[in-house]
Amino acid sequence: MKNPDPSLEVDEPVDRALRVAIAEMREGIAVRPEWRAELLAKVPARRRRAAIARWMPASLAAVLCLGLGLTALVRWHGSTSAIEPRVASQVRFSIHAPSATQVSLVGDFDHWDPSALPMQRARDGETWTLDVHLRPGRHVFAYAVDGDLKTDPSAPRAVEDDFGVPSSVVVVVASGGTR
Amino acid sequence: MSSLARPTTQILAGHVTGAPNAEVPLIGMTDGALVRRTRDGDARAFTELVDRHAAACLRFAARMLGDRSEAEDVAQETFLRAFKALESYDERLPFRTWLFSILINRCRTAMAQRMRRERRVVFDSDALDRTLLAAPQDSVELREELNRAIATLSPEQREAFLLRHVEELSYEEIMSVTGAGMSALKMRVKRACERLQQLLTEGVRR
Amino acid sequence: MRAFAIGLTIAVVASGSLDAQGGVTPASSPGTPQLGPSLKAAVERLADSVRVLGLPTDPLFAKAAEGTLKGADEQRVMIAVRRLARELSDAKAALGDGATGAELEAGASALHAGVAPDLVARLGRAATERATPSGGRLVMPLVTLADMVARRVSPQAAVTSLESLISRGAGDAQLANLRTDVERDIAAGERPDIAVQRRSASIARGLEGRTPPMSKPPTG
Repeated sequence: MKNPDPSLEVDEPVDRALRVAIAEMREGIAVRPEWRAELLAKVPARRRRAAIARWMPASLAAVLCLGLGLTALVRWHGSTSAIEPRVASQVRFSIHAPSATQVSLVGDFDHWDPSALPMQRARDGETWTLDVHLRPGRHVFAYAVDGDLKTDPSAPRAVEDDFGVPSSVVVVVASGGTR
Repeated sequence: MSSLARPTTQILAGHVTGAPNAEVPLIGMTDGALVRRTRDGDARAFTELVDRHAAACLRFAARMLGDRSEAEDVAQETFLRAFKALESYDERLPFRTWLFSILINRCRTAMAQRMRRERRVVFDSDALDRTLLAAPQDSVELREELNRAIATLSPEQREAFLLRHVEELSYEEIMSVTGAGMSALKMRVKRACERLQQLLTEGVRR
Repeated sequence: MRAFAIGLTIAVVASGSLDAQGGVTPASSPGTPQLGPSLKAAVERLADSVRVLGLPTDPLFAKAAEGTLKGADEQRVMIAVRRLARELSDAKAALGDGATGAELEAGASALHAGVAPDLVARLGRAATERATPSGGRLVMPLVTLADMVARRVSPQAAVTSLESLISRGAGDAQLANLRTDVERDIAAGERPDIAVQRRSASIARGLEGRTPPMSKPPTG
């Protein structure tokens, strides 16, 4: 592009109130990791490398087991991404279902779609696990075990029982500043 | 099956993209180079483009539409369209400018759709019985009066103002993304500033 | 870990050192495919009304999808969705415009459990000063309130205990412990209100002597 005439670029000066407002408007909007992942999942494959359906555990900094088996409380840390997404937390869900052939995680975070978050059988052959990124807040969920919905015995029951089939609750909260 | 993934491997929605030993650093590449790589089939290159420009797209769309979730939808559509249209991108134009021209069209479409939809909004009387506010609100990021003030601008003024003062495009760039002429644009920006200044000053005095 | 043997563990993987995520991220979007067309249209119409009031719409679609998966008929689903819309709206009235979507959902769960809006508002005010990152400080208190009331703790007793703990600087971990302990005590036969008073007193004693990490000066 040719260089624009500098005199055309000059706007009239703006007063303080508007300068403050503009600075506020320039504040970045946090990019949610779910939004980003959803977008990238929709991008059609050009010549994609082999899609690996199974998730392999990445190297993990630490694992916190919270609650005394009855409460799921999850802490999250800021992401180090340059675009500063609104932070999500990685939560590991596990269920012992040795005779199941198919287990998936359903909840508000995947709109209760049994095909969205299939769980993987662990090496012991009896436990099914999945790590999921969840936004901070309260999430209602259940496990679809060969088509039947099961709650999580170590998580609190959801107070809502609108449909006669119970669900479980996990709360993802911020870390830091709570001690 | 890949070995235990190293921290730099990206896992997106359950798929591992990029071979673990493909360590080409994308960070230093120009947008144009990334577009070329994307055309050649490197999905990570498009991811890098998204990461560079997503925040600005979301910001513009959110300020333009006043609604974060609509802004997210519009920004997603923008990137998907851009991906499909990459063959037509000319590297002599800055990628952001090209991307914004798509974004602006998506925003305009969204606003037109919203106006049609709002005319047939059904108020479910057993669910809600509250006063309807004139402007759409998802204003967690901006204070109330600022959102209201922006909402009073006409779409053309809002667009021109945001591109000029928030996204800081040159008038040349704004002309190319909006299709409007220079003097019309300058007038819209001027009117928008005057209006906002008036509303914000009144707000302060109150 | 015993929890594994019992059947379930929910654990956190702290991923601060990883630049990229190590797990999947749900790719959810409104208008889930499994909703029937007439149900989808009804939810969308309601979502249009709800959106202009600054309320989150995604929970409505999630509720409709939940009902569909659980085999409820359309009428029952819409009753639940409308109820949720009302609860979100009431939560916003109680918690104010500054409440985030996550906080509104937590507030809605407390209302759903039977807590009156003025008590939700009261807890919201008490929790506003908490030293947790903004956008989340009301979630744990409201969820704890909802859970305890669902287990027959009286709303008044629950709110009073929570206010007391919050004023002493209780963090989300303490509130989670309260939730767990009270549930266990009630399951063991203790009266709900007694359980909550006893457990919150115990937690409060543990918090005494610490400077609450808040802007207000510490109370005695």
